[in-house]
Amino acid sequence: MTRAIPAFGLLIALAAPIAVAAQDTRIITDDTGTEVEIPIDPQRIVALHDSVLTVPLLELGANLAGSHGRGESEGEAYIRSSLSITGIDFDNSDIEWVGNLPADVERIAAVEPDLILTTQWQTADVDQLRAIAPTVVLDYTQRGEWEIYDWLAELTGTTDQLELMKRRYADQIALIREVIDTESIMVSTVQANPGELFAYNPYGNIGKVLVDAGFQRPAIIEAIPEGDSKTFTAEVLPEFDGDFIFATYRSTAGDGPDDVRANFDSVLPGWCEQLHACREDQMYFVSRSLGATRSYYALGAVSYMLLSVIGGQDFTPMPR
Amino acid sequence: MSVAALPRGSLFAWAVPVAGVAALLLAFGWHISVGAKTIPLGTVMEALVAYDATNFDHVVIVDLRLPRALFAVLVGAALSVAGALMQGVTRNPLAEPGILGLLIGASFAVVVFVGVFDLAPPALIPLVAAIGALAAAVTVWGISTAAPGGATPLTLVLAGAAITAFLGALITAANLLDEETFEELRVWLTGSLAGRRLDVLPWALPWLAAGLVIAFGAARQVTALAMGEETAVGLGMNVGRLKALVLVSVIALTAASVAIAGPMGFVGLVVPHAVRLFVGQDYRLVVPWSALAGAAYLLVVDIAARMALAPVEISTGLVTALLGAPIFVWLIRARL
Repeated sequence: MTRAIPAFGLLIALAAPIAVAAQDTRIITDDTGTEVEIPIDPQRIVALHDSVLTVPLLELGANLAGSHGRGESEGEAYIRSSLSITGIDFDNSDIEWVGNLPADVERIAAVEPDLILTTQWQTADVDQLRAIAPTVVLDYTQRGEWEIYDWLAELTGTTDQLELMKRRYADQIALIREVIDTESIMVSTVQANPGELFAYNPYGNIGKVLVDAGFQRPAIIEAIPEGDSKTFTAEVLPEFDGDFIFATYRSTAGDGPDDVRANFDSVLPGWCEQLHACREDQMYFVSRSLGATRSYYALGAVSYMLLSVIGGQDFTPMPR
Repeated sequence: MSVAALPRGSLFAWAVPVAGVAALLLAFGWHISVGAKTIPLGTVMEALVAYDATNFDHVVIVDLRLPRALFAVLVGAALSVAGALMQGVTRNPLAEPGILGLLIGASFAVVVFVGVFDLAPPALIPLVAAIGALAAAVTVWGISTAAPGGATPLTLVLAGAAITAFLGALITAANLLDEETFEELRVWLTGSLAGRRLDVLPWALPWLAAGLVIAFGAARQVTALAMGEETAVGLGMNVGRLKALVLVSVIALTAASVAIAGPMGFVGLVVPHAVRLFVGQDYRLVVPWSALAGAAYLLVVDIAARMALAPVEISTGLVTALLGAPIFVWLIRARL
């Protein structure tokens, strides 16, 4: 026993420099203008927005200890879109669910995070979060969707992984441009909600790939400020027409392509006849998880989808 | 001079109703002629007399604007008549389906039925809305009669506000707990005429027709009741039976309008007061003129909702609230 004490002391002494190294910090300024001292190599990150923060962090290989998730109890909580994008969810990982909206501050504290990442969307009190661990607020209304991604890599020391994914994506875009004369093809993205049309500019991953690959897009979509969305009356439905149209369904709500058609029916019965793309079977329905979640995996999937659908067939161009 | 004061058989006595109907037709024509998409008047007429399904302008007129205008007419008339009856029977200038909690009661029942139990057969929506409206009416009446001093205009309004706040909170909670499911009801809950499905119309029409028939039939007695219960009893009326009959009418009209367009607040407040300025207190005139003016009012309000930010639309219910709230405040200051 007496020999064990010095041995234990030695272990502590050896471990101490490691612990000190793990706590090396730097100061950054977050989107609220607050200076925050954060660890250089965070080991226990809690992310408070599943699709905007958690999924990108999982792709980057960051050390996630806890996450916001949809649902109201531990048993039913899930990380929106993560399973289909990363294969990871609460039930098959060590990531703790820390509540929904607002996130549960006590659950967050129990995870013992060394860095908390949140967005302007999350309603958990930031001052309380800062009392638990250094907290960085990322405001995606101030920064572009993909600028947030870059910043996450920078905050979590995973820029090498980000560069790999960016390189892969650039290659995918180059392949699309090589196979398809993108600048001569108009591709539209529109969503039908009950009674109204809904459009984003650019429309998540699908819009980003369309823009990066140089496809034409309908003027009505281009007119929406970048990063913004608008609802429209059905009277402008033909303005959303194109050589191809992509519409999405809420797979997370159990919806499928038939629900998209039903929503378009509620906007305008006989809508398909009014759209060239639909009449010519050049309208496609895809899961919103693929379209909405900021993910390089999803960008890749969208790239190959466009490559296959548009590059792989003869189609009937829309009369201009 | 009010319409009621016009001598029978005079030119004016005939001209005024004709002018009213003409104004409604004008509003209807205006409604289907303007929108986010500019369509020449000639094409509008052509769509009505020689519809071509391959012409998108015709589709806009016949499949979008025409049903919407029809819904505006029905809902505007229903809510205005309901408001007029409620004001007459309760002798409360602030009574209308929204302020006394009937709209929120009907909406809450539909939300539970559609959102929680995932049931949405169009045939049952008006019935469910009617049950919700009735439950809310009974609760509001119960709360206000239990208050010290009984059911005064003030206690009725306060009880209506309490029920509206309570059921509104429950709807919000349900929405927060299950955003995905309630997404489909989001626009409907603001009171909207956009994208209303025609399949609910055949099921809502009988309720609407029944409500209007009762309202027109009871109008004469409501005039007497509006002078006070003692006067009505003195005239040999069965006041209890009349109140029950009017309640059935109000519930049917509220249920039909909620089934069609969701909760559309303040229509039943604004229109009857405006009508009384012209026709006086005789409900034989107030009821039909409220129907006419309510229909025209909602047509015009819906034009504003569609055109103000075109091609983006505002929910019609938001515009009725924006217009109705100041009048509500004015009535509180002037009449309560």
